[in-house]
Amino acid sequence: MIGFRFRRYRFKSIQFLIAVSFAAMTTAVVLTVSYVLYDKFTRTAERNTFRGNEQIIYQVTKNLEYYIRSMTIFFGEVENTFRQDDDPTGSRLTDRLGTIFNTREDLVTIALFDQSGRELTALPSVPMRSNTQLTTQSWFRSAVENPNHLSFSIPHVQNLFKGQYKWVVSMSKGVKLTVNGRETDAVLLVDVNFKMIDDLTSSVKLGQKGYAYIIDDSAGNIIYHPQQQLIYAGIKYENVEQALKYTYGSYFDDSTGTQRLITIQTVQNVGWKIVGVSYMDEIGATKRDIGGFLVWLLALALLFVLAITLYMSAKISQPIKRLEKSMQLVERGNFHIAIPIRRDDEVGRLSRRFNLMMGRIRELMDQIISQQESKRRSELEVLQSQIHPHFLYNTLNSVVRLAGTGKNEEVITMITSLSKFFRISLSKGKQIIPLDDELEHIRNYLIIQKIRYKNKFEFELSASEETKGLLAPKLILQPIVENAIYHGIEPSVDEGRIAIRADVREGKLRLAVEDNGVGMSPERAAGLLAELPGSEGAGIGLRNVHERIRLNFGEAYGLGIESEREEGTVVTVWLPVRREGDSDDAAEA
Amino acid sequence: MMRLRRNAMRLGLAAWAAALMLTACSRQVELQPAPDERKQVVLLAKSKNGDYWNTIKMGAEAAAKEFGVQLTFDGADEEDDVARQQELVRQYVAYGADAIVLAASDYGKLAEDVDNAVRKGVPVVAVDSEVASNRISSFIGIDNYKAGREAADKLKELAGSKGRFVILGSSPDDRNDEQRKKGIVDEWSAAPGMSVARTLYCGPSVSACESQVRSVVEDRAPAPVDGILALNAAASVGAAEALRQTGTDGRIKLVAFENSLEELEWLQEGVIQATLIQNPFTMGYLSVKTALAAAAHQKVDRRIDTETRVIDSESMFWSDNQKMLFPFVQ
Repeated sequence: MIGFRFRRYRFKSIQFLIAVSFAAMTTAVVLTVSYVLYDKFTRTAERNTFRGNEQIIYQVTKNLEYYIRSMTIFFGEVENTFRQDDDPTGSRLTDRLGTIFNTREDLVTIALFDQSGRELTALPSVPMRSNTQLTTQSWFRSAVENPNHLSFSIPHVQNLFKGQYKWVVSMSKGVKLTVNGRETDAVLLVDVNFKMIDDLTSSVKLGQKGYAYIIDDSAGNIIYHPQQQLIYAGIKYENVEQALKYTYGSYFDDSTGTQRLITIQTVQNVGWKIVGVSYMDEIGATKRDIGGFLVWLLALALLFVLAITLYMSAKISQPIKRLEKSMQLVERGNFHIAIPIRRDDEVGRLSRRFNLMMGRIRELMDQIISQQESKRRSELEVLQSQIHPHFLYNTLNSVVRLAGTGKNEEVITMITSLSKFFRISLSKGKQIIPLDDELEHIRNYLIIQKIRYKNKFEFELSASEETKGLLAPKLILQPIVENAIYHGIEPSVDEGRIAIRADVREGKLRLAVEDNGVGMSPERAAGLLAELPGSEGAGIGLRNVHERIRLNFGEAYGLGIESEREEGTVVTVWLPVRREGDSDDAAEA
Repeated sequence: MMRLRRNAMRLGLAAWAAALMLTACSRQVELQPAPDERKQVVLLAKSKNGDYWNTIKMGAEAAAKEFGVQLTFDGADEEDDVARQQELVRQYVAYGADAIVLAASDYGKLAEDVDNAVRKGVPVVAVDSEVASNRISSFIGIDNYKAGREAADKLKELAGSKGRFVILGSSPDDRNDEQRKKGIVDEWSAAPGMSVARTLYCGPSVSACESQVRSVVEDRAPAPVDGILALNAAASVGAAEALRQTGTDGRIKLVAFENSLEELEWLQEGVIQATLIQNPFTMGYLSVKTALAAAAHQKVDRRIDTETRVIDSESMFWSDNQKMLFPFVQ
């Protein structure tokens, strides 16, 4: 159905206009809404990532601070144990510490050295290596240089004891102890491995690929990194310099080629910073998800709107198209149509107006036709009335001549006939008169003419029985007979004869005027009734009669002419069979 | 008009319901677990044991983790078990590995198996040791000849540019050792005082190396040995133990290769004066990365030379050297 409609789609149609404007408007609205939603969603996603990362890193920092505090407390406990014991280097104390040492996975070394780097006591209880360069190691130096200050070293390999090379963070402090009754400056060392730090840090998940690492505040050394070995091997790189500038907060970094969100928190007391790294392309993935969803939504909305629009525009434009079709029919001349009114909407009202207008047009056209007819009729009547003065003049001339020659009897006949002729001509103004009157009228006319033409012709009138009481328009025979005399009998050398017969044939009243005059060619006879514009003269009387009949009674009636040269002419008048008392509206017209 | 509006509303509801259903469907799809489509990369070391191979494995694992690859580590029990390694190559090709990283235990003997593997569409990346096959995608390792020259130069410096020296390798068939040896000989050819007294091959066994070195050290004819250049970890440790036991450590200079835990101990103790270290972690990492690229039909470098460093007991605890010498484990 839609496809069918599509094929008929025209670019300048209302349907098209509605569809396009609706679609454009909806697209604009949906696009705007989508964009706003997308923008809002992605902003929210980004802000959530920011906030989430900051919370996670804050949590890690707190955990790490807690761990460092507990290590500091542990260190203080060990220090106190050494300080309060009167024999800090004795095996009794070493055993006591050994119990604690063995229960903690994260402890690598607890050791006490004097200022020259000589071992006073140590756990684990294994021999020390030679060539340790102990006094040059940073943890030792900072303990000597800043006594009574607990310092944390950067990660290094502890090389003091045989059997192991472990990566540790060293906690060291210069302490004063009483060893063998002598006050001694000593360095207390606690090495911690990365187990706890790793546990605390690697459990952090910042998105799919994100991670957290720890740097040293002062020099930017990496304390811990989940991919420490890759960093050490120089395969991976972290932009530590920029991270050093922040105490806390977030920023974007693309020094590694991909855009990453860096979140920083400072760990109190040790001067470490936790750096959280998360990858923006993961947020990008969220963006893509949202974008994809919105594209779907957009497509769906558009499809939906397009369907609705097609449906609606068709609904609106189809009645208009129907209206247009109807108007086309009117254009082609069919005024007898009415549009079915289906709904009471604008188009329905328009259709009704159209129908009303069509009715009015029909009315006006009928009116014009009837006006035209009556105009013609009155014209014909004027023509008809013009006959009389001429005829009267001729007749009176003939009477004068007859009277001059003393033919009194003929004068009387003529005057009597003339009087009867005029009485019937007037007929109280009626247009339709009894057939008998009409025949009487023509008889008087023929009597007058016969006298005028000095008995150049004979005539006879006959009416069959069924014509009794029938009606006929008045003065229709006179022009025919006049023609028969002037054009048929007069030029002829023979004695003329005119016969007028009335009968009923095929349900019509038939009046035939026969003469034996000169006649004419059948072609001319046929052409006589045809309407030749501007042709006046011979045929005009006949044509008037013909038209009068047809105007009054319709196309089925009128004149018929048959003629043969030197044989004569038969003019037949066909009229409807009407009787007195019949509806005489035609007579009124 | 009313009817139109009602229809429109009905259509609207239908479309909205369809949209809801669509989103609901897409959610469900998201919740389905993704099937394991990770690439399978097999790392075949010369041996499953030893610090060196372990560090390579760590590097490979780091790369596997980063690139989302399933890594299988395998190898023979002994470094010279060529037949076993050949068998392993065939086996993993048959298992449908996507790429193989191979530390070939023999330069020539593994060539055919490598060719076959590549022909079956499994790219092979050589790590540590080269293979005589030009179907290899890439070689990742050190320039052994250059390493040999660096080590020889260090020993020359330690010995004061003169003396008689022993080169201790694992086998004349070991291509790495042979190239190192060639580098040593070339380096010393320019130093008239430096002469190679003997070249010994003691296989992958520490104790065999130790006994060979001890006999050489004790055999002082025609003159005592001034230094030893041990071309691999086993030879280095064997030599160090022999020197300590004969009490000649310090007097007989020992320059080693690689950085096994024992060697580092001996280095700190001063028995080994210097060692030439490679970066096995980087090798492992790069080999897996390269193998992946090769499996994805990307262009890879035919040869990636990794870093070497000569470390002595003085410099071994320098921060930079620590990072290279000691694998970071918690």
